[in-house]
Amino acid sequence: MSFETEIKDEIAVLRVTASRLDASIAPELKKVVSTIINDGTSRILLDLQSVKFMDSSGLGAVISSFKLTGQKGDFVICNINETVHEIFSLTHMDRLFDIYPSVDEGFQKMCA
Amino acid sequence: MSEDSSALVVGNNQESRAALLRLLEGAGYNTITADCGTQALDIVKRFGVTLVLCDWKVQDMSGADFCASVRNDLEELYVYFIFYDGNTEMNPVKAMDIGADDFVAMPLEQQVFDAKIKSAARIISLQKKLTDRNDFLEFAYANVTTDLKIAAKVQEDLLPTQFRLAGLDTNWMFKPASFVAGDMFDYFPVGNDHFVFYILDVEGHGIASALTSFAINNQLNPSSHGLCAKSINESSSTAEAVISTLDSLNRQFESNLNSSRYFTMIYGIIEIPTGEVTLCQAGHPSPVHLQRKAEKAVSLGDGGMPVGLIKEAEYSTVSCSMNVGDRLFIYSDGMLECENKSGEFYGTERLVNRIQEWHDLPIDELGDLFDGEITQWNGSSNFHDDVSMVILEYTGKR
Repeated sequence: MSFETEIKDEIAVLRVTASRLDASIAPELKKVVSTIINDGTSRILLDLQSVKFMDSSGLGAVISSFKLTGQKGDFVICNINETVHEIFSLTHMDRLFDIYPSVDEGFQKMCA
Repeated sequence: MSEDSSALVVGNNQESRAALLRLLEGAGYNTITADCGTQALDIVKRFGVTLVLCDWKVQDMSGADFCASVRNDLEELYVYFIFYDGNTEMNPVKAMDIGADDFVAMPLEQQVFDAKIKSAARIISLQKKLTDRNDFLEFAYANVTTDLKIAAKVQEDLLPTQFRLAGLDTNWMFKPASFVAGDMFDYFPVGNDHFVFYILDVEGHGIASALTSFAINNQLNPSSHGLCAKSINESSSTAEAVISTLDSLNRQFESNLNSSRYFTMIYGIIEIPTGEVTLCQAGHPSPVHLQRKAEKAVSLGDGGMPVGLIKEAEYSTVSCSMNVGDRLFIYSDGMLECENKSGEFYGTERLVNRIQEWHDLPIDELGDLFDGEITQWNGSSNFHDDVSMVILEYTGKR
């Protein structure tokens, strides 16, 4: 499994455990997010701490996941490294998402 | 002779042979006999017999050698090989070790023999199914490969073939990760004063991405009815023409939830009389402007939203002025993210340095040079992602 989910206070903390978020696991991310939403949790905190590299398919899957949750405050990203941040910044997707440096911080903002 | 229901008995002990033939024929097999290993091997090869019962000791070559020949010489055909022996000389472990599937001791016990033959029939039938399936897959694979090669040729034919155009000299490099690529690029003059160029990279690579890149390429065709000419003719400024093209593409390709395929691109227009460049960076890596006089290469822009990803995407333009001899490099992320054996990315810095270092070399040589450079970095010509690059040099010559 490339993903781990933990539900806390009606927020799903979805951790990508793979080091590459690329075409090989992008479809799985979309499925995992669909399952979380179908199971009744519509707020997701995506933890990318383990991800060292993300390609265009990975970014596509993150955006699709965001679209599934619907609202900006309901899909939050945390723990991104410099390489992954460059992709978000190059595509201006850092303007679309709330990105926080840690799970705790992301969690607090979502609960606030 | 049907290969499925034929059995070959090898050996010259008449009594054993007769007993085996009687039981095999009773079980519905057509039987054939051979006295020696050489003759037997010839029969197996010629008729494709898949069930062989061989005396532990045959006349010319030992049973063991015959079995080894069957295994080594007949890779395509699986022969179910049973040793029989009436003198208790046979070592069953050795028999299995050299490639036999089973063994029977003489005199035969009918019940045991029938069970062994049934087991053999099951294995032979499974083997046959496997072979048929493999043949089918090989055939299908050959068909798909042929189709892909044709598709690759179609894509190659869509790439620009002219290298000296009004006001600009050009060159490019194109390395698809599989037969066809999600990367595409083109450039062409529109009217007398404008030169359009673009490079795009559809998310992912391979067939699905290539189909999308074909569709986009079709929208951006050089004809006067194409999106590029229309946007130039209907806009009051070059920047407006660039943005209206991006807006139009985004509207058409904006993904829905089921299809999240999007693309990044650089789309730009050069005003031929002045060398003014106006481009939009839609999530694509930054173009590099080589300023010939200053011998300096500069990355342009700070990103932008990809196309077909977000409905509300807003696009902006970046501009620069090209003097005669200046070059503009646009390339796909496959170039920057190409990893060497130690997992190190090729990266922007290396690229910019190389562009600067090669500033005095003729543009005609740069396509091949970058091809060699990135192939060497990659360590082979099998790339993980499509790699492409377009180089434009402003000549100002009309």
